[in-house]
Amino acid sequence: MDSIFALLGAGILEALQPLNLTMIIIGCTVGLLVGAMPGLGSVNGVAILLPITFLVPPTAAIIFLAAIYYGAMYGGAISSITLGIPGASTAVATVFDGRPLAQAGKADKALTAAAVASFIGGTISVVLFTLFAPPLASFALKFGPPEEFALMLLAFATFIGLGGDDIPKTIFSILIGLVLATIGLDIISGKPRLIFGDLPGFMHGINFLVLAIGIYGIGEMLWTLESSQGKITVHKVKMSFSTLVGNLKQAKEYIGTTTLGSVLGYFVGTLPAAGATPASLMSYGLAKTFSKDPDSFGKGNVSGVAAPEAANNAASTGSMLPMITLGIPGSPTTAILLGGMIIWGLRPGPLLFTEHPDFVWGLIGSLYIANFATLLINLAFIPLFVKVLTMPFTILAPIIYILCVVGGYAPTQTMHDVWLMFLFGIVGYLLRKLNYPVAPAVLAIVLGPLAERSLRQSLLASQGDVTTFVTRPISGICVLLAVLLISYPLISKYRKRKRAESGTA
Amino acid sequence: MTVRTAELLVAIVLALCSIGLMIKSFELHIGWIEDKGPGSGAWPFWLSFGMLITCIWTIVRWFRGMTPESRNLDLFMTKDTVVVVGVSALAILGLLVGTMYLGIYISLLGFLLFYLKVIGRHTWALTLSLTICIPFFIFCLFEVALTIPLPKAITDEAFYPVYDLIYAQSLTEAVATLRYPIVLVPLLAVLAVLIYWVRYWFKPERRAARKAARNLKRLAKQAGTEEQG
Repeated sequence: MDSIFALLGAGILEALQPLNLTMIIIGCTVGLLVGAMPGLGSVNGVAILLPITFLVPPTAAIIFLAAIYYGAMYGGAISSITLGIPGASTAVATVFDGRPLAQAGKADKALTAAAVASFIGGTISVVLFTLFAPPLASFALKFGPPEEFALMLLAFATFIGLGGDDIPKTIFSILIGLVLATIGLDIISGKPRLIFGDLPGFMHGINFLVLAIGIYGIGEMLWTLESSQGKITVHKVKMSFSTLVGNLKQAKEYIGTTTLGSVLGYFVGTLPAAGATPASLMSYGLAKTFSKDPDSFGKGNVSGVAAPEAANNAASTGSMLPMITLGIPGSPTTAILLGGMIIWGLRPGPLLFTEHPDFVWGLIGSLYIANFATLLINLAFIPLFVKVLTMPFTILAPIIYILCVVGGYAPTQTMHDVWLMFLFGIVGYLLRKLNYPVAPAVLAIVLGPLAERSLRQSLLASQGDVTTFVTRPISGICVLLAVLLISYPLISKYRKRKRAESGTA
Repeated sequence: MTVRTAELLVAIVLALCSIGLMIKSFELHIGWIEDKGPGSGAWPFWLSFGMLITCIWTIVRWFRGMTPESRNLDLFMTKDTVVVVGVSALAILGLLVGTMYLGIYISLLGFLLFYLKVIGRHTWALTLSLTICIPFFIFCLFEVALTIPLPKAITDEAFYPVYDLIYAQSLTEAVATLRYPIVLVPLLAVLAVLIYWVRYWFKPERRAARKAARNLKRLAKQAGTEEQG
């Protein structure tokens, strides 16, 4: 236990280094802006800005990206409350009570509650993260290739079982991501694979950033253009120091629900696919259930703003746990962070804790600092962020397109990748219109090479005997869980049908 | 085209792509190689096979009307959507084609001018300012800070003096590069934009407007406290 405190202390000191601290502050501010803009969430910000982080060393880079992730979770609330449009899908639940509060002229109250709740959620989850990460990582050190593969299977299974999207389309999305990851040189035999039209651009494979920027940059902007054709109105926010203090004192009203929501959010966040959006919805439901006055929810209850905000922040930290300790990202954003770490030459997984302790603990330390930084920046500059929301989309959109094009070019410096990115953007947009989930594909392209390698290594070690995945205890449990998760939607549908039949009979 | 038609069409196209991928993987070794484990084509082959199955699954569900999309008779793309999304997509396409032949900087100027003026209908002052500053910023960020040369196509040679400036060993060398228009013009343009906005900010009528706004705020606050009192 002592060693954890020592390591954490060193990590916090690392995060307070001038460069890292600057990165935290810039990252939080960018995150707040990105989160506040309707249509853009943490995943878009991280995908579009990842190429720029090659400017700084890996630790500073991941701290910057984690700060964006963090800030975006706070920022989502700003547009949920002032515009009544969730700034990101993770802030959907915040609209339920945030909008009525803003309409009643209490936007400042809602915004303060959101910021304070986010802070509480962040703090609780970071503490949980610090406690859980090292034991989980040392446990995961025992994992061999079969366990790794079973774990990835489990990650994909959660998307199918808990993602809530159309099942065949989710599976399709996962599989195409995995196939795209196989393009290029085969890591084991060294042979070129799936080189379409013998284009040399395919030889180095498809960088995950090309898919991520295409889908989350170009595709998402097209989607936003389509969905935000209508005019939007911004609710006025009156804020001064004295009202702020008054609003802060109110925090005891919702401290209970936020604590509960934070713990819940953290654990939901650790599950791949579940993530921040369902966590915030569940937390909202829980707050309503335990409230003394459940009827006031949806009509402007401050707890209804605080609970989901605490949960989505906690979930964002939670989703970093499996990424750092197991190398399995818990959300599309962490999938991109994971891809980034691979580019920086770091192999996420249990070994990270022993091989690069300064990196891991620097990141954990930065979460503590980012939490404070975001709270302060958020409370101090709320009026400014609200002003940014009124920025015309026709200025924002071209800037983002340009960053996408240049960002897609930067990692490999070939136009081939930029064209591919454009293609993925358009196809992603069209598929999204037909309800094909895109997040699993991004997760799959990042995990693809790792999954294939662990599969082939396991099969090689077992002489082609597939039962190796079931007979080894840990991988056996993972496979069992995966099977249960995949069959869960089918079972629940069957039970629903049965209940309906017995109801009519 | 209705959403219903699009759903079927897309599923069929994706199924064909899956078959294509299976054929492509089949060219490689998809079986077991002694001492080497599964061949390099095995993993993509079975994944593509899975894709094919999910597409067929979607098509079956379409016929049985099980997905909301297969029952949705709305237009897949309304006319407004086609215009809004199409114009943006074409603008990016233009940017990419331009980048291949004219280099990224010229294309950026054209793209920004088109997007800000034609689509956004912003004032000339704002349009020109952003059109000048964004490519300048991109250049500083990527070429100077990240040292990633962006594609310049036919304008490649014209940029040599700019690199002389970036990698200048001494101040005199740096100043000497100013004799090239490619160095001087962008710098002057950015300077002009800065001067324009600073002067705009300090224009007498704008200062008066800001002062009036402040007074109004103070009055409103006073009225508010009186009300409470």
